[in-house]
Amino acid sequence: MAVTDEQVAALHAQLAGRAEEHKRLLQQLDRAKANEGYSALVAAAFFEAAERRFIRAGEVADKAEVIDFVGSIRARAEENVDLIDPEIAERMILHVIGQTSNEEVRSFDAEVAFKHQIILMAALVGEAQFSDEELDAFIVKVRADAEDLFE
Amino acid sequence: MDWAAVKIDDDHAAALRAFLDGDVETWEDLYSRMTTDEAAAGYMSMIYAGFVVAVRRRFSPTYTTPEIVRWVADLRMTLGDDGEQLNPRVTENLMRDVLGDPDLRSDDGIDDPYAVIPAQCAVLSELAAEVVIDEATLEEFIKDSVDFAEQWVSARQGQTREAAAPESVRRNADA
Repeated sequence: MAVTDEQVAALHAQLAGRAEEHKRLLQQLDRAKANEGYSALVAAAFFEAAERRFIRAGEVADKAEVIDFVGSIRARAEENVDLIDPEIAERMILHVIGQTSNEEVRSFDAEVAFKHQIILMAALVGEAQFSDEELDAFIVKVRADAEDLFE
Repeated sequence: MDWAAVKIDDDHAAALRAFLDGDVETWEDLYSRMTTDEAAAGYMSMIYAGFVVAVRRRFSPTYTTPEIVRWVADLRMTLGDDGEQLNPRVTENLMRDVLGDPDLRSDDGIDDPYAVIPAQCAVLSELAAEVVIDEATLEEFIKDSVDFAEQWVSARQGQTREAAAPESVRRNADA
């Protein structure tokens, strides 16, 4: 199994807003394993959170809604607006909701894509304002999705 | 391309006026007369000048970077499919560059004419609708844009002369 309990705990701490605990747990992760397992967890969490935010009752959001979301999180980032490239962020979300091709997203540098997934995932989950129970259920779901990637 | 031969004239001012008025017929007529690189450079200098004047008038001196980010996102949402060729980061960076943003780290793309020209035109068009409210503000806007374009072309001509001067002349000038 490529996803470990430690990786899940690190993600859980981040999404629950426990920054110090998240940092400590992240530092304790086995780097080689984290490259696979933790990356898969983040990807699954981003995918799930983006789907929930931009596909509601089967209705897929239009591009304007995606532009609005990315513009909002960048504007809130104050001096860190340059951390997110709006074109990359928008295309990654549009890819999740089936509005852009795989090729466009595959052309992104893996490290840049991972960085954008982390920021977008955190913003999407923050906006969702999960209760503790909802966050627990979300984590169970994304762990299962991430593990599916390795089967 | 001979910058020394570029001159901002009445046609360029009229072209900016037609652009701002959405007067496609006049614009096309003036555009068809711009058959040389030098005439086209004058026109693009005029569009750039209008862009600079509009951005400064709307955002300077109290702007924030998040305000620019939000404004560009709103512009792209308004334009819909027409905004497809607008690169958001290039658009933001062009505006931040004009405003002298000291935090501007990435200047990716702001020298790429395929990204820059649509961005300047879209921003100019949208902002002019905000800052030009009547005939008097239109006249003032065109005058300020002509003044800026003339200064900008003159600066380019100075750079070109300096680059072309023989080494001995540049040494004497520096002494």
